[in-house]
Amino acid sequence: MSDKVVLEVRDLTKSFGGLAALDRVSLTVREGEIVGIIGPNGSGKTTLINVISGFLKPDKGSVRLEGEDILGLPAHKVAEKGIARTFQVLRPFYSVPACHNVVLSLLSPRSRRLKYIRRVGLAEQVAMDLIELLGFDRAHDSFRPTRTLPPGYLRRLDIARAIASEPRVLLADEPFSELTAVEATSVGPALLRLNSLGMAIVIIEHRLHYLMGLIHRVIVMHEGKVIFEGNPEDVEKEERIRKVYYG
Amino acid sequence: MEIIIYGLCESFVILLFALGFHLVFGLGGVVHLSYGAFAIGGAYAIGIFYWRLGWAPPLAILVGIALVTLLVFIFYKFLLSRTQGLMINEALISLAVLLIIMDVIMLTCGTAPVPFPNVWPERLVPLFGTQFELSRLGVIIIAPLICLGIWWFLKHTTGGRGMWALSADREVAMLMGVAPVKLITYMIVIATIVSMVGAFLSLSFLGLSPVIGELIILWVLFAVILGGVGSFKGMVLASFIIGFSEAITASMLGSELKLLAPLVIILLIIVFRPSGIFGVATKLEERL
Amino acid sequence: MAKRVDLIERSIYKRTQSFYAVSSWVEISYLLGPWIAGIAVAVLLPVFCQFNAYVLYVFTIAGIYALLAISWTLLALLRLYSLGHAMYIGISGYIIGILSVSVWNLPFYACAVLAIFGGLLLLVSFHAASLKVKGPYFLLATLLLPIMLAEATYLAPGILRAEEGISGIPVPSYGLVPPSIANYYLVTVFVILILIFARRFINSKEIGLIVRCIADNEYAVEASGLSVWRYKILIFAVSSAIGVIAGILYTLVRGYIGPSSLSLTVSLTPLLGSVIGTVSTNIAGAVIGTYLLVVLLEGLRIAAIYKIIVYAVIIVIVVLTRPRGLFHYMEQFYHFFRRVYE
Repeated sequence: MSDKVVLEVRDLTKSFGGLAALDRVSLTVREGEIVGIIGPNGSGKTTLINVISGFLKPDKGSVRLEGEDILGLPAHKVAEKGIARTFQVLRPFYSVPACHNVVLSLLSPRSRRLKYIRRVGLAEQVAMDLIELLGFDRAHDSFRPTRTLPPGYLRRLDIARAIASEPRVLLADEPFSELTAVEATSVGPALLRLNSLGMAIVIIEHRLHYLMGLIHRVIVMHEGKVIFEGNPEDVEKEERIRKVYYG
Repeated sequence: MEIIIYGLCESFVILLFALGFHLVFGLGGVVHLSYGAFAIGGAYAIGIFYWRLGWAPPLAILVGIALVTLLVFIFYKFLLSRTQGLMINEALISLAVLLIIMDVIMLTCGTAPVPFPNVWPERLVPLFGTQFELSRLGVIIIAPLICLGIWWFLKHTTGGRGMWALSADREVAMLMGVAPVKLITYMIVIATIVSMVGAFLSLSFLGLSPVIGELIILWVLFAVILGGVGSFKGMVLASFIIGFSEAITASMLGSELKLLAPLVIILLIIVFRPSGIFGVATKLEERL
Repeated sequence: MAKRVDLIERSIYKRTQSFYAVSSWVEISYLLGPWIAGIAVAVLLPVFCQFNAYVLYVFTIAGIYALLAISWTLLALLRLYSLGHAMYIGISGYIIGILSVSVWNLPFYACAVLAIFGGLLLLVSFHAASLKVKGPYFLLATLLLPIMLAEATYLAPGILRAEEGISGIPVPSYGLVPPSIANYYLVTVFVILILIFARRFINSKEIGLIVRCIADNEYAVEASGLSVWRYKILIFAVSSAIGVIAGILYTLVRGYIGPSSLSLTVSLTPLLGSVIGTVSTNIAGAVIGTYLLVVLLEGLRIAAIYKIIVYAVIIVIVVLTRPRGLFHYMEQFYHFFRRVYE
């Protein structure tokens, strides 16, 4: 984990009608870090990801990826610059086989450039490597119909789709949602493995216990504002955060 | 000056018809494309009762409205509600019914205009230097009252507020005890009655023929698109824009070309601002 | 006891699902049989009916509707259900009509090329603009467009000839084949076959994959680095191009364009044909369904007065029962044994 800043967000503000979803939110992500963003529902976490990944335009603020200003770019351009995201709601591509979910991502300009992919056939090989990295059984699962996969697999499939283009930062939006406790145990190690390969990861979650042991640093949000930033261990001791979560 | 009167009159007629459609479609979310057809069908029924059967106007009107309301109720209960809310299916079924109704009209009455009972006494009112038919002035007076009545209904009665809730968020509304099928049935019935009232107020000077039928359907679609789907204010504003642009065009270029202005306006809207005046511009990102 | 239906795969179906299918003549003919039979029937139809002009005319019009159905199915992929597909015929037809009869006297091929450009420009801009607004808008706007065009014909009676339409559109006197109904029929069949095979070809390529994924979850595609907007415009362009070609053929065959070509039934026929033929976006199914529908409608012409009512009733039945599409049942019959248990 170096000190080089990979993603820098400053004073991001976004309101819907009269409601401030983001209120001067700032954060930095360094190379190789795993940052957790936690907070109760409605604190603006998903809006933050939507703004950073280009699906929403903020009212004010700036987003910099390795020094380059990416605010205002459409979502696919942001992805091409090197920010990938997963989605909170599991909606894989059901009309294609499992590995083709990842093949799609390998057909993007960035993937083509970085992985020298020319044809679908080659992309399939790379896709199978990727899902094997995330814990799939290469021979058995690659061409299964996507609808036969359980949610734990689908979640990791979404992650595989996101990282196929070798992004600099992965934004994981509630990767542990819609999963049972047993299924959730497969997601953590997958993320750790990706991090060990040098990828910076930002995990949005509101279930604290999944994140402990996974993240290097934690940011707590509430009602659109960042109210705490520091070590995961200190979070449990902070009185403010207790009040925010437990009332 | 007469442009203003004609413009007002035209606008209110459009508004009356668009009102019912907005209740069903803009608020209720039911793609009820045969709305106009039922209104025309009812008007033709009244025309037939009055003309072929020789009934007195009040009787013809009441029976006509009752008949159409009953038919709409049956249509909704047995056909439209079975589509399970899929837009394309609703569209198809209501279009099928529209075809049936228009074809039945064509078969029974042909394309010649059918005389429509005149609710207003045949009088000309001198105003601002020219004579106006009482019926046109009557529309200008009564239509806003109906409009305000509907507005009040939407804001202050349980049924009306239920409709607002349904259009905002269907599932939450259902959780709060709003029964969509029952409520929409009421709405469709009310909407049909409103449109029938609009019909018998206005058709005395518009005349009743298939051409007018298509015109009404056109008007309603124009108003909804121009105003933005689901926006009451938008629909009102759009009705006036269309009505006045028609009146102005008619006075400058003759009444055959009166549709030119609305057509051009709608074309521009479709290309440059398809969401309409008060519509929602971007697709809402639902639950990324 | 409730009825239970068991579908058991035929062994030959199972065998031919991998590439071993090319190992025996029986298996090859099982797979290719339906295709060869269908194409043979289609191409040899003129011979079968002894070049009966009426029959060929009906089937040519059916072919044109089938092209519209293909165009409609492409849009339906994106969950954009167009209720005004007559517009494609209308735009290309009126452009050709204006350019060749009422305003200038350009030769047919020139008009056709201009119609393609003009039609594509107008239609793609409309579709692109309507991307911004939610679902019901598209239904209303597409419903509105043909009506607007029909009304516009009354507004400019000199050019657009109102109700009587523009007739006497000149048939090209030169070209590869002499103009006759049999040739027109074969042209439509040819175009349809090209499209069907093109679709199967593209399906296995990248674009097919990308488009199918866009249909499933376009946000995920966008987040993966692919510009969804660009692919949607591509689909609009292809769909509009097919529709405009259908319109050009229509004008060629009938030599006439008028408000009756813009009616609701013209718009609904390709839609209904696609729905009857297939639930998914299988083009062959849409084509078959549309041919059947048009032939059925022609048959109803005998019961002239009630044609529209029967048509409407068909719509209602289809919507309420929601069949899986004829193509689906045909496939089932061919690939599976069917056993019913009481």
